[in-house]
Amino acid sequence: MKQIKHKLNDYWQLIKSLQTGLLLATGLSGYMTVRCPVFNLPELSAVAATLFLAISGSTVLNMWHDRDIDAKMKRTCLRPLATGKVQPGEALWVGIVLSVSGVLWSFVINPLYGTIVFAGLFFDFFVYTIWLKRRTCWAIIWGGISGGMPVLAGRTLALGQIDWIGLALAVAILFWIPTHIMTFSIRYDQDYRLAKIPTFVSKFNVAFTRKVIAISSILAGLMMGLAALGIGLQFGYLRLLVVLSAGLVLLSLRSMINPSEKLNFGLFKYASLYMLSSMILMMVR
Amino acid sequence: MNASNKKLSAINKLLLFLMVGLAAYEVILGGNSRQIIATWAYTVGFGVLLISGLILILLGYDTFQRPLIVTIATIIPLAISMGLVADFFPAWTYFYLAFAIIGLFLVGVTRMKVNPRSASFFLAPIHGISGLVIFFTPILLSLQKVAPPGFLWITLGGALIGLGGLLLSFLRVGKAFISQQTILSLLPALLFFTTFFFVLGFNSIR
Repeated sequence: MKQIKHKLNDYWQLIKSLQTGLLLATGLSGYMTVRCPVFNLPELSAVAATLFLAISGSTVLNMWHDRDIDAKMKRTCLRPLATGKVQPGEALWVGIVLSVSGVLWSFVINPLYGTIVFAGLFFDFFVYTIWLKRRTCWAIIWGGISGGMPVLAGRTLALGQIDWIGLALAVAILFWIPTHIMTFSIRYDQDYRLAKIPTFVSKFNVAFTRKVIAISSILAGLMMGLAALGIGLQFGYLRLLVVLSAGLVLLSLRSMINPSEKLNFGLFKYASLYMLSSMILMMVR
Repeated sequence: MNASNKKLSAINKLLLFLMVGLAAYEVILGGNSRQIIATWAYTVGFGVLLISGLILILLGYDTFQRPLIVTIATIIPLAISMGLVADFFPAWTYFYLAFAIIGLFLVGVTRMKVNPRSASFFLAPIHGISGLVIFFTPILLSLQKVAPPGFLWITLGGALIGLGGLLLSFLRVGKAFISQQTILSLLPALLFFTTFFFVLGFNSIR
C-alpha cells in the first residue's frame, strides 16, 4: 500500500500538477463560456477527464524526453526521472497511456474536439519538445500555440464549431505564454545555459526579453478583453478584467524600466494568477 | 536587518487576500453608481487597492519602499473622492476631475523627477482635499438624510486611509514615532479595514 502511494506521488510530480491544473482550468472555462455547467455536468466531467488525461500525458512525455536536461539543471534535478525514482521506460508508458486514452476519448465525444486536443498534444510534444526546444528560442511560439488548445477545445465542443472568440482566447494564451515562460528563463538563466537550451535571454539579452514580455503582456490583455467582449461579459466583470490586465501590463512595464529579480518573479506569479482569474471571470460572466 | 526584508506573516497575507476579494467585489459593483464617471472612478480606486494587495502578497514589504508607491497611494483617495463628487455633487464633477488629473500628474512628476521634499508641497493638499471629501461627504449626506446612516462607514474608511497615507509618508521620510517594522506590520490590517468599511458604506446605498 505504501509503495503504491509512493509511486502515485512520483507520477503526480511527473504531471506538473499546477501547470496541468491551470491548462485544465482554461479548457473548462472555454466550455463554460458557451454552456451552463449545471445543466451539462456529464459532458463537463468528460471535458475535465479528457483534458486532464491529454495534458498530463503530454507533460509526462515531455519529462521523459527532457530527462537528460532536467538532470543538468539545479531547478529540475530532483524530478523523479532525473533522480531515477521512476525509470524512463515506465514514464514513457505512463505518458503514452494517458495521452492516447485522453485523445481517443476526446474523438469519441466529438471528432472536432478530438482533433483540437490531438493538435495540442502534437504541437507540445512533437513540434515544441522534440523538434524545436533544443534548436531555437522561437520554439516558445509553438509551446504557446499548444497552450491555447485546451480553451479552444472546450469552447469548440460546447459550440459545435470553431469561432473567432475561441481563437481569440487561444491567441490571448499564446501572448500570455512569454510572460509566464520568459520571466522563468530570466530567473533560471544559468540553468538553461548549462543545459544548452536556447532562450531569448541567451540568444538576445535580458533587456530585450523584458521588452518582449511587456509587449506580449499588452497583447494578451487586449486579446483577453476582445474575447470577453465577444462572450458578452457583464460590465462589472469586464471592469475587473480591465483592472487585472492593467496590473499585468504595469508590472511588466515596471519590470522592463526598473528591473529586479524580485519583481521578475513577482510578475511570473502574477501572470499565473491573472490567467486563472481571467478564466474564472469568463466562467461566471 | 532592513524591515522591508521582513516576510509577511500568515495573518497579514490572509488579511490582504480578503482585501483583494473585497476590492474585486467593489470593482464589479462599481460603487453601486449609475453615473459612468463615478463607476469608473470607483473602479480605479478599488482596482488600485486590488492590484496593490496582490503586489504586496507577491513582492512583500519591499513594495512600500519604492518611490512609485506614494503616487499609487494618492490614486486611491483621489479616485474614490472623485466617485463621491460625481455621484452626489454632479455640478462639481468636471472641476474635480480636472483637479484629480492635474493633482495626480503633479504628484507623479515631482515624486519621480524632483526632490521628494518639494513633492510634499503638492502631495499634502491633494491628499488632504481628497481625504476631506471622503471623510465629510457621508456625514453631510447622512445629516441631510440623503444617504442612510450605513453610508458613514465610508467616513471611517476615509479616516483609516488617511492614517495609512500618513504612516506611508513617515516610512518614506524615515522619521517616525513608531518603528518602521511596526508600521509595516500594521499596513495590511489598515488596508483590509479601509476596504471593508468602504464596501460596507457603498453597500448601504444599494
